[in-house]
Amino acid sequence: MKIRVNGEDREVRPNLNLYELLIHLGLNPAHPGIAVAVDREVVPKTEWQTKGLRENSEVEIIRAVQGG
Amino acid sequence: MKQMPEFKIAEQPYQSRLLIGTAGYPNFHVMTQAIAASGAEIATVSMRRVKFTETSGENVFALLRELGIKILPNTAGCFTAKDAILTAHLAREALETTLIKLEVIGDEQTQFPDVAQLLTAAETLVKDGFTVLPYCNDDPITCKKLADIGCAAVMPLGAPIGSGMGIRNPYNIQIIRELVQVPLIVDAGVGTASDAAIAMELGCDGVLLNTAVAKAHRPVLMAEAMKKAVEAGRAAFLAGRIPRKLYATASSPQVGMIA
Repeated sequence: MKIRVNGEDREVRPNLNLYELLIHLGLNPAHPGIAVAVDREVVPKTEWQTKGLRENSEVEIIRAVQGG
Repeated sequence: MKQMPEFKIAEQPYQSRLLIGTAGYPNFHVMTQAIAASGAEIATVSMRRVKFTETSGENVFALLRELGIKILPNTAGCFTAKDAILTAHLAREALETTLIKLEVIGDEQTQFPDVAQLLTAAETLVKDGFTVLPYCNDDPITCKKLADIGCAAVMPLGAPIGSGMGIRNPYNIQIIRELVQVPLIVDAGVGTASDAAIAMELGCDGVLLNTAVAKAHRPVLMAEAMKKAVEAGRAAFLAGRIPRKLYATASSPQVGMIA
C-alpha cells in the first residue's frame, strides 16, 4: 500500500504497524528523542506497536535538531 | 550574586537568567563549550523531520541531557497555529518536556510573529497543559493578552531574529515590565553584551539569545561576556540607576577649595 512519510510517498506492505514502519525505515524505535504523528495526531510511543497504518496514511517522524 | 531574588519559570527556580540557543555554531564542540561558558541552564532546540539518509549520529537531545541542560523545544518555522500546536505536541512526546517556546511566524523576511495565530496557539497549548513561553512582538497589549491566557512567561523580541540590532524599543519593554507579572524574557535581537545588559537594566527577568554567541568570532568568549552582561544588568536594575539629567552635578565637595 501507499503511504506518505515525512512528505514522501512510500510503498509498504499492507497492514504495517507504526513500530514496523520505523524498523523498515532503519530507525531504532527504542532510540530516545523521536516522536511520530499519523494523520496529524501524535501517537505515543506506547501505542506504536498497535497503531496500524492504512492506505494514504500521512506519517510525520520528527526529532530535535539545533535551534534558536 | 547569590543574594538576588530567584528566577523562576513555572515554579522551577534557575540560577542563570540567560537562555541560549543551539543553532549555528561552527561545530558541536564549540556549542558545548559556549553553553558551559554562558552558564545557561535552559537551551532551545527545533523539531524537524528525521532524514532517513542521515548517517551522522550527532544528537542534540542526547547531548543536552548529558550536560544536564533543560531542553526548551521551539516551534520555529511554523506559520499557522495548527502547525505550531502539532509541533508542540510532537516535541512533548519526543523530548518528555511540557516546556515550549511558541513561535508562529507571520513573514519569512522579518520573522515577525503572527499575533492572531500566536494567541490562538497559546490558548490551546495552555489548555493542553504546556508551559508556554511565547516569542512575541514588543507590544505591551499582546504581551498582556499572552500573560492573561496563562503563558508562563512572555518573550518579546528586542529586534528581528538574528539581526543583532539590540533593544529597538526600550520604552515598550519598560511598559511590558509594568503590565505583566509573569517572567519577561527578551528573545531575539541581542547583538552583543551591552544589549543583554540593557534588557536586564530595563527590568527583564532574562534574555534568550543564540546568533550573537553562535556567530561571534569567538563564540565561547562571547558566551562568557553574555553571562557577565546579564548578571551586571540584573544587578544594576536591582541597584536602581540615577536619573538622567542634562547638566552636571559635581560629585566632589564644592567647599574648601583653594583661592
